[in-house]
Amino acid sequence: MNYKDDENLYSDVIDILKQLPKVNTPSYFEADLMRKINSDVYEKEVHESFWSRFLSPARLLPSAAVAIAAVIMLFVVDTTSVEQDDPLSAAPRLREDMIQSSTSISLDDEMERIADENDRLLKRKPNQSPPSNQQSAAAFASTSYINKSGLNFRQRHLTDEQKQRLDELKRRIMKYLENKKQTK
Amino acid sequence: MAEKNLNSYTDEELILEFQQNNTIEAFEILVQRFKNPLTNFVFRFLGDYEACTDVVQETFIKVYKNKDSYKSIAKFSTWIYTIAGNLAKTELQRRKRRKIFSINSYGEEEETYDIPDESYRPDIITDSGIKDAIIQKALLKVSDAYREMVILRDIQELSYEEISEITGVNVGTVKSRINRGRAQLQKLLKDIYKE
Repeated sequence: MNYKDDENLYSDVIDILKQLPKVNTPSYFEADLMRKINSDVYEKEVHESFWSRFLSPARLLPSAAVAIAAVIMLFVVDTTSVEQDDPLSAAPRLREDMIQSSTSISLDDEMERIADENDRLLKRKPNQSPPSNQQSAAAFASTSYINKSGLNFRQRHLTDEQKQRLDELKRRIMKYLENKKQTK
Repeated sequence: MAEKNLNSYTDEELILEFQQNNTIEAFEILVQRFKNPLTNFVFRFLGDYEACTDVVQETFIKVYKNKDSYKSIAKFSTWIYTIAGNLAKTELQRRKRRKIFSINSYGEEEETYDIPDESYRPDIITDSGIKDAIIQKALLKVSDAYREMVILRDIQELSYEEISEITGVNVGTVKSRINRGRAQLQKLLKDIYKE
């Protein structure tokens, strides 16, 4: 069925619609239209001038600089985050002051040497002048890697035998010091 | 002299003149040519004269502002009818939303039924104004998609191809929708035919 047949089928409706009076615009239509168009054009100009003023380089550059600075502050200088090493995965810090060279003298040798020196001093002839305090201190310091002035000492756990030998050494040092006083 | 020449221009030549040289006279002639057909179309679609005037004015404002959007491959009438039709549909949707809002706000409902209006009798319809109002009322009860096409075809007397371009629907669908709209109208206006 083509559209001509359709139009015949609904010819009554079509006739009624065609007979409807034409509706026209009011008399003020064009004047009102041009007024609206002109007001729209004016608004557009005002709007554009605002944006052109806002987007002028004099205003835009400082704003852009502030914005860039803010971005840098936000992403580069991140003050909020604190980087923490994982204590389980981090390697322990190496303390250089605690490193002992493999060539250092063992405590036993040290004590033996001091004891020998004490014996030598005790067997020395009375007319023989004793070494000065400075000399003995230097000798002691040269043989010791313990440096209390720099808090550079280490703590060691001694065995019972070592403790006994250390006490013996202390006792002999005290004896040496007493002998030294008596000779004076 | 120039205005006389412009009057002899086709619609497409006038809009080109307006596009290229910003000739306001060309635009004014287009307004003169299309203001009444568009008013008739939009009024039959909306059924409200004041709203229709606003829609047609808005249509011309859009043409004025967006004159460069028009491509010379299309007929100017098709373009301006498309703009007016879209604006009329937007206005209709706005009215429907407003109606729903008023129902929700006040608990009142305007009843609409798709049945013949029984408030009149053909034997007392003597005034053509009343008859026109009844036809307009019936037209407004036809579905929006059908109504637009029926108006464009049977009132504005545009071709099916033009209606297809304006509505963006293929010609076959245009024809079927027009027939469905006519069938709805026939049912709504069955008493008027007996007159």
